[in-house]
Amino acid sequence: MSMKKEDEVRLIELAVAGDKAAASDLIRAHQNSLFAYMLRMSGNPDIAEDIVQDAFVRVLLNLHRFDPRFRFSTWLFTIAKRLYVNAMQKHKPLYDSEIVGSRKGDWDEPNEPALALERDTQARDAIGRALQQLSPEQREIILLFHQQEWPIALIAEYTDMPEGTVKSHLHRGRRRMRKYFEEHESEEFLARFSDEVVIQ
Amino acid sequence: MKPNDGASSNGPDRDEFGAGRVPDDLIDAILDGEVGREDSKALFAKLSADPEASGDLNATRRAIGALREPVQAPDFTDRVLETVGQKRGGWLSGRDRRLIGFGRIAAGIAVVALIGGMYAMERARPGTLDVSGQPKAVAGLTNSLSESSSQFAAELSSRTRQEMARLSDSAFGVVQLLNEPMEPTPGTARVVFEWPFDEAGEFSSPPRMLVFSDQPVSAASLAEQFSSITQQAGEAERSLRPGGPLERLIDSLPKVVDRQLITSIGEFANSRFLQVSNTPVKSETREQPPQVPILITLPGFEPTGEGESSDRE
Repeated sequence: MSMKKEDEVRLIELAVAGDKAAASDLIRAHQNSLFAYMLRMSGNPDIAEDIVQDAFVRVLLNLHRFDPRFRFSTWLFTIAKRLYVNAMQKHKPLYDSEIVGSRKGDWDEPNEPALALERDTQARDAIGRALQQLSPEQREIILLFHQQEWPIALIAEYTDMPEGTVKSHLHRGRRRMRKYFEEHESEEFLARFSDEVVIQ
Repeated sequence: MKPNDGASSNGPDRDEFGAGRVPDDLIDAILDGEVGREDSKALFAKLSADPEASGDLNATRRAIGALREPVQAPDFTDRVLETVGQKRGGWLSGRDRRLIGFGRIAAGIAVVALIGGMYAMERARPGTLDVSGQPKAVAGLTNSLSESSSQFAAELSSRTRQEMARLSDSAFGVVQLLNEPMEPTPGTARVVFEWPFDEAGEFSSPPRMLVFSDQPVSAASLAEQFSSITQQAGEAERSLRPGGPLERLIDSLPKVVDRQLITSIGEFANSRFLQVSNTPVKSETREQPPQVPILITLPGFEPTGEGESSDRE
C-alpha cells in the first residue's frame, strides 16, 4: 500500500494529535513491507514480528519528533534496523522449515492446495537460505533495492555508505544468490518465478 | 568495463556491445535499471548471441523475482495501538478530535473577542482596564463602574491595592481608595469618598461615598462619623475641596450616602470581596446608633480607631 507524501504527513499530524484511525492507517500502510523486509533479514517470523511491532510502537510514541521533510518509511526502517541489530545479538537466524521440506509421510497423497502450500513454503525457505549466504550488508542492500525498490541514493543515505559501495554490495550479493540457486535449487523452483523474468 | 553509475541515458559504452562475451558489469547495469531504452536493443541483441550471459541474466532475475514473492504479514494494528494507547494515555476518536478542534477554535474566538472587548472598553472609558503595575489615579473610577456590586467588587479587586489620588489628576478629588483585604475583624469598614469638582474648584455634583464594611452601615452614623472626623481634620479636608464650604459637604452627606453602595462583606480572603450586596440603606437604620465602628480614611491620616483622631488635633 502506497500513499501520497501529503496524505502521509496529514496522517502523521492526526496521529500525533491522538487520532486512532490515522495511526491505524499508518500501520497498515507500512506493515507488509516492513514485515517482509524483517522476515528476509532475520529469517525468523517470530523475531520479525517482534521487531515490527516494537518498531511501530516506538515510532508512534515518538511521532511528534518526525521531520516531515524526510521519508516516513526511512525513519521507520531505521528504527526497525536498530531493533534488528539488538535482536540479532540475542538470536541467530533460523529457518525452521527444513523439516517441512524433507519430511516424508505414510499417509495418503496430499491434495492440490496442500501441495501448493508446501511448494510456497519450500520456495520461501529457499529464498531465506539464499539470503543467509550473503553478508549482512549484501542482504540488507539487496532487500532494500529489489524487495523494497528503494533507489541507490536512498539506500546509500540509509546505510551511510557511498553509492559506489552500495552498488558493489548489491552486485556481489546478486551473484552469490544466483550461484546459490544454481547449485542448490532445482530448475523447477526457479521456474516458479520465470513469468517475472522474461527478457524483453 | 564499468556499469553506468548515472542516468540510463548515459548507458554503457557501446564498445561493450562488440564481439565477445557480455561482461558481468553490463548485466549488473541491466539489473540496476541503468540501461536506457536506446541501448537496450543493442544489448539484448548481443545477449541473444551469448547464451551463457543470457542464462546468467535470467538466473539472476529469477533469484530477484523470488525476493519479490509476496509475504503475508500479520495485522499489527490492534496490538500496536493498544500498547501505544496504554503508554500515552489513550487515543481520541474522530468525534473527540473534532470536539477538541472546535474547542480550540472557540477558545481562539473568545480570546479575540476578549481583546476586542478590552480595546472597546478602553476607548470608551480610558484607564478603566489599565493593567500596569504603576499606581494610577483613581479619579472617575466610581463613575465608570457598573451598578452591579459584584462586578464592581471584581473590578475593584483587580486594581492596585492602594492608591492615593492627587487633585491634579483630574477633575475629581478622591480622598482615598483602598482596595486592600479587609481585616478579618468584625466591625471594621472602609469608606471611599469622591468629590467631583470643576476647574474652578467648585463641586460640580454632590460627592459620592462608597462604604465597604462587613455589615450594613447606617447612613446616619456614617454622616455623624464623617462630620466628626472632617471637622477635626480641617487642613486635609480643605485641601480636598478647594474653596468649598465644609458645611456644604457635611450637609449633603446623609443624602449622598442614601444613594450609594452599602457593601456588605461576608468573608475576607485574598483581597477578594466574596460576598457583595447592593443593599440600600433603610430608613429605620438611620435612627439606630452605629453598630460598628466606622473607619474613614483621608489623605494624611492613618486609619485609626476611636480617640486617635482627637490625638491628631
